[in-house]
Amino acid sequence: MHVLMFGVGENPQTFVRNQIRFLQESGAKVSIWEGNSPPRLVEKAIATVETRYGWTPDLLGKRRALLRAADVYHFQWPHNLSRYVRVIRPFNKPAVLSLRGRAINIVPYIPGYESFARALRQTLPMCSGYHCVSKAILREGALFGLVPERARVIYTALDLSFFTLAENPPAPEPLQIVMIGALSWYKGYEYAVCALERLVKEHGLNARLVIIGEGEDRDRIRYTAADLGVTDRVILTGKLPPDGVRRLLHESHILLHTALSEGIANAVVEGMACGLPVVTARSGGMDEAVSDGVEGFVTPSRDVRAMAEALARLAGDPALCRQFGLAGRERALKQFAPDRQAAEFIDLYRFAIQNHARKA
Amino acid sequence: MLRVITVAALDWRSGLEYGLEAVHRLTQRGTPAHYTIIGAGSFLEAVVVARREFALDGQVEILLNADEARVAEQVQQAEVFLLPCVAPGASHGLAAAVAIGKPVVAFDQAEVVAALRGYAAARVVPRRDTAALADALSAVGELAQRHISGGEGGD
Repeated sequence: MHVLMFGVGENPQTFVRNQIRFLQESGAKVSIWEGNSPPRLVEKAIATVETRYGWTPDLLGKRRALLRAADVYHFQWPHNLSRYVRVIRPFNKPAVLSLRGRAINIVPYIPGYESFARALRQTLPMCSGYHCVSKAILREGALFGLVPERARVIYTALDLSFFTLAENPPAPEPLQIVMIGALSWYKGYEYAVCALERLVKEHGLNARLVIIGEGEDRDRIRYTAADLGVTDRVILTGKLPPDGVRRLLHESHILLHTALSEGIANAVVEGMACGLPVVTARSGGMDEAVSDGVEGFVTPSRDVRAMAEALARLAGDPALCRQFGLAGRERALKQFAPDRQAAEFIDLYRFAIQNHARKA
Repeated sequence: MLRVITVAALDWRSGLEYGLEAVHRLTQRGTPAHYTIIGAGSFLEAVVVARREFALDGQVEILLNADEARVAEQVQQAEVFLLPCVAPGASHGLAAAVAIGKPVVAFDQAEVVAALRGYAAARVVPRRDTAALADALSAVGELAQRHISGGEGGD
């Protein structure tokens, strides 16, 4: 299986790097399209002359050979497909598109991005296969022309060997709630601080919220904590190295996730692998990773009362925390295993090739 | 149909997600509403996500590049000026709404409270309490409805 990937970029995100690594480890050949040249020029140059635009014939030959040799083209982002659709058309190969989140459930709805939404509607039906990071994203894609029969939900894959169970239980007091993620609006930290306030003032618990991450919402979190009188209970650690993250997970009692827009958060899966019970808002695909009452509690999005109640219930029941934690670890190791993801991608590529051949 | 308007910076301080949640609560109670948000800023995506989450795509209009005349026209047409600010520095448009006697519904953020002191047509509710915000909007809507009915009856 030879996969040509578009949209990997010079500094690929962790999930893309992992995907490539796991595919290669499973025996697939992965080539990466070097996308620095404007696609219109690439298209013209491939179709006509080879030296006019300053590229050597050898480079263009390599590009063409790559497009010819690959069994399947995999586009990591919808805008890559829109950009290269004319470049790939003459080679008549199946295209697989990844649908992850923002590009399908936010951007098309922003005023001023109507042309992006139109491009989605034009290009999505052309694909022979789709990789969706969650069932929720699959449903979003269907609103823009994704053909559900060609779609596969393939969950993120993580090397979880690093995220082990804690050797010792955390200190009983104070209740430590941990959150991990970019400090950005879509993680909903303001609601987390509101839930903490309720936990302290209404449920009478000695609790603190430790937030690992960095970003533009730092001031908002600090302001909200001060406004609600819980400044000394909200700790912003900034970005931490992996062993720092693991240490704090081991020192915490509960992992909280309040995102407003999400695929499936890696941070939650890592927390589950460390045996932490989870309280998560029902956003995006989060309830595909955490079942309410099995690995933790799933609350309505933005519902700080429900979040505080779920946290309080866990705080008062260490046995339930252990039960949820062990169930979460088992699910994380099973559902997000690298070998499983690679096999599912190979299966998707095979399906796309067959589907494309049938159409031809 | 209750016409609600917010003129504010599109950033977190404006509390627009709370405003949208309040309008959602209002529509859930059976009060039809149209909500216009006028502003600019980096928080647009958050507003768009909240609008979708609360199934308000058809009822909420976001105007990004409205000039002063358009803003004045929109404020004039609305029945209530909603200001769900949670932090200072985001209460654009409030003075203009007050100047024309428009009813105002707002959170009790200190800067807004100071600006509304002595203004009889203001209803101020606790910060981040979207149920109270919806109640206040509903009360303004009922008053407006009574005013219209009274006007029709008198003709």
